[in-house]
Amino acid sequence: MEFLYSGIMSITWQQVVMYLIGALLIYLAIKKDFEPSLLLPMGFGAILVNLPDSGVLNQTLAGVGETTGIIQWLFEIGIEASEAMPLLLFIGIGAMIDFGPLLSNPKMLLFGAAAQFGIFFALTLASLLGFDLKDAASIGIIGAADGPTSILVSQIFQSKYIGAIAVAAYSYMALVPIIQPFAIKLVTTKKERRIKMPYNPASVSKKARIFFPIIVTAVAGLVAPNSVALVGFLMFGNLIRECGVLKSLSETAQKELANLITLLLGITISFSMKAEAFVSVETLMIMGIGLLAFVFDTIGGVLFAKLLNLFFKKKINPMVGAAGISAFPMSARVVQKMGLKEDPTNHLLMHAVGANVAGQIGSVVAGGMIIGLVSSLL
Amino acid sequence: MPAETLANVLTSLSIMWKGMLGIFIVMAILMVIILILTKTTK
Repeated sequence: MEFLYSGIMSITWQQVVMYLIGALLIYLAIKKDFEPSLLLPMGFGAILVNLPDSGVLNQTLAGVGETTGIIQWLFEIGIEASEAMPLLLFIGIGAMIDFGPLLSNPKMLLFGAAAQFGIFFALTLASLLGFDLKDAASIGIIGAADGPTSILVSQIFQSKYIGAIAVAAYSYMALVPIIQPFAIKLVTTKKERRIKMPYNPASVSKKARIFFPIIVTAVAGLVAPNSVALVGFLMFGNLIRECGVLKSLSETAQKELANLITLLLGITISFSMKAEAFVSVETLMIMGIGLLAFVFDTIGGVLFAKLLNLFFKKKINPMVGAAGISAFPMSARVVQKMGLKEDPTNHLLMHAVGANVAGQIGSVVAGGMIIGLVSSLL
Repeated sequence: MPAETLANVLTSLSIMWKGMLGIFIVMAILMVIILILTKTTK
């Protein structure tokens, strides 16, 4: 009868902590609507992988031999082998994005660059706290504010903290409406937040919309070859959307593909949330560094806007710089809301959307840069 | 601070300035190309 209670008797306190973390992620997903499409599967998966002798992981059974666990198999095939899941998800994301506001105001691309500062700040902080360079880079990429990029970069560096990194990235993306207003108010005055920006978009032709993804892939790929997978799949999705002759493929990419991959990605990532790897002081440090990465992304974008205001007559509302992070569309909505709060006639949404989609490009270029720079130094 | 940590911090700072410069260069090139593209494909 020992087989009936051997499972319960072998639970460790670290596994109990993981059950509580899993329950917390599920609670945040359902009750607070925090990125439910990722946090709910991750929370449930965290419970699955931490049950003693869980069948979702590879096992060696007496008299039978090695058996394959489904979550471990999904992780080895979908993430470890070729980072397929995050890259396939990027096709869906690219198909969802309308780059029109960016094409009508290409200067916003610079904010997409400035708001990646938090990645490098977090990388440096992680190094200072004793993480090795590969792990520090994997932690720093939380500042990309992009789940697939974070998972891909940390997998390429074979970081053992991929679970904590994924939880941090998705949790803080959901917390953008809390983190960004705090960070923006730290470095701006009320007068600066009230700067008015009328929206006079230049028209964007269909030809420009078609050439855009091809040009972005070519330029980013030539300068940062390690970003080709990320940028390429994102832009492939966008090209499917904009070409006008692949409507059903575009719809499939936006809905079925994105939903299917999202459904599997969360539960697959939970493979890296085994108690022995996740319950550690390092996880708490990663959560702290990840938060600072988002704060300094915001500060980087805002300060860059303030720098530009020293040189240009037509002032930019610095809050638009904060929208240069990749958390689309939440960040743009946060900036719009803050702008209206300061001046109900000041609509910053379309400027912020331009910066926000630029941030999507900036974050994948940053991912490629980090991979290239860190691997050249190892 | 241990020597290895100091070395990693200095390396990280080097990655920071090179990385930020690289991202700005890529985005600036894209900005110029898109400005030309949108003006020539009206």
